[in-house]
Amino acid sequence: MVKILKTSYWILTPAILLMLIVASIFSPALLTSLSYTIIYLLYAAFILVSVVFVPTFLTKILHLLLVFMIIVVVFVKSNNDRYPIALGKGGSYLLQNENDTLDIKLLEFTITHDNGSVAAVHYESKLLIDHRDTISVTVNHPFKYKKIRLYQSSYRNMTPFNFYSNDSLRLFEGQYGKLNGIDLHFLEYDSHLQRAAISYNDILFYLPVEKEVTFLNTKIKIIPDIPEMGTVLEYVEVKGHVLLLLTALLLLLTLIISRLRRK
Amino acid sequence: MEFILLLVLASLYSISLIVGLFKQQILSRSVLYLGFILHLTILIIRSLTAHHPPFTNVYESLLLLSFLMQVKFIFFQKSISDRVINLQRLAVLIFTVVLIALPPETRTIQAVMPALNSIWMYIHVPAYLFSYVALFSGLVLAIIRLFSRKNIFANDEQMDTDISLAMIFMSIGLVTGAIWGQVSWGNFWSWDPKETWALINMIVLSLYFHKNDRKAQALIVILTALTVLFTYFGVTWLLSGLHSYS
Repeated sequence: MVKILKTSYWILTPAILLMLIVASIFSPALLTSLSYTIIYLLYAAFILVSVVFVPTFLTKILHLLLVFMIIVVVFVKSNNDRYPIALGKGGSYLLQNENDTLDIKLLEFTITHDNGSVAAVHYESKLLIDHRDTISVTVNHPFKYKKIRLYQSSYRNMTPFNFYSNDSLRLFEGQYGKLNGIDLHFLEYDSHLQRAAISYNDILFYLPVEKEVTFLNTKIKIIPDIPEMGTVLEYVEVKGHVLLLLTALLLLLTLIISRLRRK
Repeated sequence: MEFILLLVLASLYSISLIVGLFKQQILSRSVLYLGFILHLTILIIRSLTAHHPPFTNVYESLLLLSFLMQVKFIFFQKSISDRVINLQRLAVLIFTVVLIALPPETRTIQAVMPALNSIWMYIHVPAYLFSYVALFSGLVLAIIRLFSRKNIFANDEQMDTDISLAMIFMSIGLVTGAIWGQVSWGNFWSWDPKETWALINMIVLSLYFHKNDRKAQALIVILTALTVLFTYFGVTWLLSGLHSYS
């Protein structure tokens, strides 16, 4: 058995190394592909079996660590939902998952630059959560609420759009607002077709920008404004921590069994 | 100013090596100590001017890495042959020359970017630096082992210790990096080029513990050193990713 494992190890490990090297240089997308994921898991299973046979305590720990890391990488990568949220000042977004709904609104975004340089040393998003609580999100200090995590990702220039009708309204992409007493959701601006996607009562409308059109029996004109700095947050929904903890315990148990077997 | 000090440092290390090759060990050691003090001075000046520890970019980490290697070679080793000592001095000299050859903009002091403002930087980066110090110390012995006809038991024993230390610190570096990734980006692992290559380094080095043949082990150490150098320079400048700054 030991001989078979040793031979397999010297075939599998160089193969895995070659796969990783080739993919990282030529096609990084392969690293997260299904075929690669299956190979990682098979390799993890192989390493797990070999833990029983490797001689020293240190090598056992290192083997188990590698197994745990492979499981964490594969599991977390395939299980965590994440997407970016770009918000301009006053912009809001409704976070929704199976259990929770959270309304976030950007009150202010500030960037602190290093003296005399363009390098940002600190950036901070002040958010209003559910129209009640004001919180601050900075790099390394995410906002945590149940399974929801909001990370400060980056920042970029964003263009606000002025909606002129009987009233006027200023919205960034993704932002909600009230125009002529009607609740609108400005979804996005398509710069190629020069049109704005607006949602009203869950119905999608495409309105041309910089042209006066009739929308819900009212004249409306949408004009882009001067771009200003907005924040980019990363939404992450955390899943499966209990399962990972169980995996860690299972691996610890393997370590104990292999020690007992040796004695 | 720092560049001039680097040139002086490289000169001192070169003199120490050349004098050492002519078996004038007392003079060689004296010049080496002088270089060592200058190396420490450069690090202190850099840290005080930048207001952060010297490991936030490639240049700074290389400056610190070569210094730590010198600390290891001077203070933390058993009695070894002149051949090993000369090769160790050559290794540090090569790193110093690389420091001089790096593009001037890498020497510019820059503010620490927000993602690096974390307690994890003080665990993750030093863990990797210690692992590289142990690895390059092992590399010197591996090169001697590969080209030497004699079996020197003390060298082999020292190589085992160095590579075990390299493996332990590499593992600590990888795990703390994953935790830091979770804190900063909400992701333990992103398959970022630097992360992938850190894993490759670890898997290559792990081969060392699965071979009993000393020559094969020496080859594995050399291979690991090459993949580490690619991770250090190649990944930083050729493959862009989350770690592009480092």
